[in-house]
Amino acid sequence: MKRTWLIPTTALLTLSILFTGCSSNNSTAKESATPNDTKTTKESKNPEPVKKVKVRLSYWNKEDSIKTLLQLFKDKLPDIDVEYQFIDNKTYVDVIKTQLAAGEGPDIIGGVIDANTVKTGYFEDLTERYASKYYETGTSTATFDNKLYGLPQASWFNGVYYNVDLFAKYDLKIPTTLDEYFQVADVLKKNGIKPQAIGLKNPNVAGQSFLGLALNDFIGTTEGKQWNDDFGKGNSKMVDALEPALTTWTEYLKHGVFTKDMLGLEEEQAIDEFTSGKAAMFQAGPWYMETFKQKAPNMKIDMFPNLGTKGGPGWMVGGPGVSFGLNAKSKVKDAAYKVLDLLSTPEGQNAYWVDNKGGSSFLKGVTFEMPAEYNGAQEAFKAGNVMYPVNNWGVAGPAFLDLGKGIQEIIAGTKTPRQVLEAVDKKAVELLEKSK
Amino acid sequence: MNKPNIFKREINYVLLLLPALLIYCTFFIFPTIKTALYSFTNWSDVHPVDVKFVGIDNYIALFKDSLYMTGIKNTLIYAVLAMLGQNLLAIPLAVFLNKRLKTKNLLRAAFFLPAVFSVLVIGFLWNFMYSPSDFGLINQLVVALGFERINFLGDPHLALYSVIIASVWQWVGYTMVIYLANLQSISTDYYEAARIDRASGWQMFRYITLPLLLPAITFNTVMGMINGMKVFDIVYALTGGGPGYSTETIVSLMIKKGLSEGFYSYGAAFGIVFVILVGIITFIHISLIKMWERR
Repeated sequence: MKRTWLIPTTALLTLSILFTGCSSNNSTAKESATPNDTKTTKESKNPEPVKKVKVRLSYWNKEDSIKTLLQLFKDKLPDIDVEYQFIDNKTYVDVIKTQLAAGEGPDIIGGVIDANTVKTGYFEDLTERYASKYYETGTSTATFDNKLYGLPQASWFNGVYYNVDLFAKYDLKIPTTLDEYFQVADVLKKNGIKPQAIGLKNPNVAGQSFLGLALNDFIGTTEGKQWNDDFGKGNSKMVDALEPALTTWTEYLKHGVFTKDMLGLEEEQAIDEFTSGKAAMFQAGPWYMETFKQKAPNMKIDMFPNLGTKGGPGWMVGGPGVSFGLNAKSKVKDAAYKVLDLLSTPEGQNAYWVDNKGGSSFLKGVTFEMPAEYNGAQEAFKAGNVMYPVNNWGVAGPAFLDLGKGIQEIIAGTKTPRQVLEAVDKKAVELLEKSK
Repeated sequence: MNKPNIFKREINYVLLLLPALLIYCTFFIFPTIKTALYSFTNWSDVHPVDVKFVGIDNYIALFKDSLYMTGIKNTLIYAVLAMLGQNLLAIPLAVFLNKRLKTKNLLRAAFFLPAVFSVLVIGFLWNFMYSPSDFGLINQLVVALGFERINFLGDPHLALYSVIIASVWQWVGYTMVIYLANLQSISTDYYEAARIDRASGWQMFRYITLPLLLPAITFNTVMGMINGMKVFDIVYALTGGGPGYSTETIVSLMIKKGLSEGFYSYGAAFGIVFVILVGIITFIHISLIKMWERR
């Protein structure tokens, strides 16, 4: 008899444990309390310590690149605890999109704001509160159907950093064309110095290297800008427009500047080569300046713009920085708005810029001084030659990864420029078809 | 036994099995059925609600795309070689560490240790070991010995095999522990009798150890194959599927297409193909092992 009762009881107990695990989490609910909840707590008969409202903020750069801003939030918003969640760039979009699809995710999200995510309703409309505060040049990438969904932070750009002492040692002049660049590279190679370190293992790096040249030779021209817009709408093909530029880019391989072994090199390893003086140049942007200074405090660095075959002021690959959007499903919107309000002040912009020196703010009335490390790139900035073509590709944007991977295949010798561009066109068509 | 008694006995077993069955249904059967249903629709990040039935379009597109065939081929190569590598190294290692050595516990711990770490940590470690730069550990040795640098992760013909080596290195100790447990259950009487019959070491291994290790061999090879088919993390940590698409696997492509690009239904179709593929391979594998057992 005892045994008869024991088995069903054990089974029921196990089931109850199982379902307890599936039940809603009360502690999370407490953590997500709104400021109003905090007020209620204060007024209750048994006063408890004031509970901070937790606002989760995600972004793909490491905490170091945002530490001053986080400190500002801490100092100015005592009732809010901004929890920073760093997610590596390689998985950032996947992780955030998965969380958003599940109706979850961080309260404030860096990036991932595109026609699809906006259409799906993942982001809060920020037009009324913030649109007038920012310049349109910055908000254009986060604006859809005249509605603003993200607040653009200091612009980003990449050019070619170079080791000033190494250039002086071998009496090298700053190149202004691709031919001059290869002459510089030849001198460096003869002296046992790697001309340029590059982490081609990352397809994004490979892709941006090509964009630098493509901007100079085609995309940066009036005709090229029109092509770029048309490509995003599905009205033009990449293979017709960019094959000459991509074929020119393979000169880097023919001159032995980029080699197959660089396909196995991570960016961090390439930085080590640059900061140790084994390589003279490195294509990147302000986000690595702190790392350079930490690894080689005495190294003198300057930057020149990405080069093309025709000369001129050169081009920087870049555009509006990360745009911070508000998760439409956030349970702490009031607190999140307070964070975005602070971010949209000169103080907030300055705090972000301190760890990302070099870019310019899109908040009206805020200007920053360009650090001396970017003197060599001033002509390009003055000419307004800063552009990230992918920003205009819209829903075809993810095809850029295929371009980067295709460039890896060119380096490995398994594909021709034409085959790569045809594959990117195919992917763009697929992405555009899906969004219809 | 009359019918009510049989019912009473059976209901107890059913009740005991119920929690496990519920977990199985919640986390495997239900998601698999739902995935199968979605694989026949146009579900995507752009069409999260207004989902339409598209028949077998996703499956046709899948088999037309050479990239997915590359992913399946890479996965099969990885699964077979990693499974073979782990087991072929783990069996002699387990036999060796089953002997009366003073350092056997230390050696067992040392070989098992890599399995304790996250795959991403192992990936980070091997990234630096494989690096083609002057700071790469293995290439420093290769160059010091007078050879050309080896582009372990940057050569599309070599990258997958470099990933397999790192994976075998990590999991050989874990596989060894399972063989060790099996070895310790083999009675020493067999070996004593064999010694009386003047059997050589190889003969004892061939005719006593190996046949009696079959339960562990079955477990390790089947699990190794299934885990190999599911590979993603080590590939992601070491190559990210590159250079180009040379090390993409089924799961990495499923994530790329199904999540990153928002083609959820396409990813679902690939997932279903994957489940069927794993099922067929596991069935063939177990049948082969059973044939060996019968021999």
